[in-house]
Amino acid sequence: MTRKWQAVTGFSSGIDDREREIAVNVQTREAAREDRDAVRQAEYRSWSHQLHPAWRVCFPLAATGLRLVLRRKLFWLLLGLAALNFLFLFATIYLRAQVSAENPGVARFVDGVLHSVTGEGRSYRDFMFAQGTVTMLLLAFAGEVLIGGDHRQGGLTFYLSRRMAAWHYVLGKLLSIAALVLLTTTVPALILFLQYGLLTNSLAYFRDNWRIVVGILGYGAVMAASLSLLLMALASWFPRTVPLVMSWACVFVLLPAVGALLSEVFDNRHWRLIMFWRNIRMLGTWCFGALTREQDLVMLPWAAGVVVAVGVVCLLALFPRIRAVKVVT
Amino acid sequence: MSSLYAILHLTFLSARRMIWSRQTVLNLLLLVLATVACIAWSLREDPTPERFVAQILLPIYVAFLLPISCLCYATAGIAGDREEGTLVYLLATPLPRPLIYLAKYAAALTLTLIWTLGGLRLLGQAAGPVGAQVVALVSWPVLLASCAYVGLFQWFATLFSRATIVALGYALFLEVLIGSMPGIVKRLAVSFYAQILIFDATGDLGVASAGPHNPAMFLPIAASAATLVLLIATVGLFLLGGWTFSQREYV
Repeated sequence: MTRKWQAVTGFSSGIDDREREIAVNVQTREAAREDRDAVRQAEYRSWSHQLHPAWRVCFPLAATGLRLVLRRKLFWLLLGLAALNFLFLFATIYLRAQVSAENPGVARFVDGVLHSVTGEGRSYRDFMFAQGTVTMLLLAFAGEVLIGGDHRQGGLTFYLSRRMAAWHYVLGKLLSIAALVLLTTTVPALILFLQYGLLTNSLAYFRDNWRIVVGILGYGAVMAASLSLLLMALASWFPRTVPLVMSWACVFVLLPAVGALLSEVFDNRHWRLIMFWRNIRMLGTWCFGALTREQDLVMLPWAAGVVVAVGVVCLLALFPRIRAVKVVT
Repeated sequence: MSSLYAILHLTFLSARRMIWSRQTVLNLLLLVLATVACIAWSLREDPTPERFVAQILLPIYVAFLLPISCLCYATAGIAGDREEGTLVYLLATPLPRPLIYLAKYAAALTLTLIWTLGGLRLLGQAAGPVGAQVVALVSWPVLLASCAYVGLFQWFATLFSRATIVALGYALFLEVLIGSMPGIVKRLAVSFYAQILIFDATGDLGVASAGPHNPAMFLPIAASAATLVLLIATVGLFLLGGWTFSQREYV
């Protein structure tokens, strides 16, 4: 140790060039070892896995967003409210199957009384539509947590300081919201469809009604896409809870009431197009192949146009708000 | 004297913060939208008080504008401070908590009453003579319902960190759900009592409760009892909120 110390410092008298060279080498090795230790202690390490394309950052972003929402107790309360209608229908379908099995003659009577469990596409469409209020509440909460929080607390600046583009962020958040929409509408509807089919005596129900699955998935996709875009645009412009909740409730409660009133006053069905939820429902009905009335078929392109236009406006409204820096005036 | 001055200052400060906010702008936009609908309604050939109540007052005002206006200011007072992290500093002042709650309540109630009663008058004027006639009679029920909503929503704000969402769930989901259920469970809803008082006040104009408000289904109670319930609810919820606010820890 004494020799090493002397070698490193060079304080020893009579040191020759060879010993000085050895001392420098020792010093260099020790410095390198200390650097390695420091790096190891800081837990820096090289990336040993395969590098993925940048766009795949959307998925961890969506998963993080979902985890953020799932951690809140209020989410589980709202999900419980959403599950009430599902559980009611689940039990009703089971009871209907039991009654039909014990007395087939009663089955037709039960179908006549319980319109909500006839197993036709209309039943599933009505169920998904009825989930609207709770979905609206859930999304108001999710919008505040997922998007409003990012704008208020600097999460957006953090995300965009990483190697990801603005549209990656937008897509990741849209996926989170869409997953919540699907969780309250499409997934329960698919479970009810499965339950209904499994409680029959054969697989004929699945074979004859495959179109219902297309309808459920189509309606769910329309809802997920349109609602997530609308919510994200609103939440990015109104990151605080109260304004967000007010604007969100206006779209789903006030506008339908005003639309119905204006439609009646002016005797013009086109006023109903301001009912956004109804437009989505019309597209969903079309997905089920159940849009048969001529007046509805006439209104369908208009409803689709409104939904698409709202989506485009939301996208255009989003991008000025998704910036890595905040300009303070 | 200094405490009184501080409370008055806090009330004024809270009211000023809530007025100059995005929710006020949104409230104004919602009111403008409803006013336009009222103007359109007044253009119809046969406007009657009954139709005004059934098509404007109940579905647009009582079911939406009234609770949303109350929610907008009643939850923003305390929940807004919690959200921004300024409540801790407020509680660190030597002011007693019940007085802080009183200041917040006074600010929220004042703004809410200005919005709800002012908005109601504006809708009545927009709907023409029929609307103005009905609005003159229903101001008292709206005032009572506003006070009850403010007490309830401010109590929510003392209990829940996300009081706005809870209040929205109550106003737009729970009230609708229990209001459409048969039996007396609908007596848990503030809007139930407001509707009873509205039908009672407009009875002289020939407005009869029909459809979903059919007495056989609606099961109304006497107007005097409804008034009493709303008054007791207002006072009770205010006291409950003040007590909760004094007991809880906010970090």
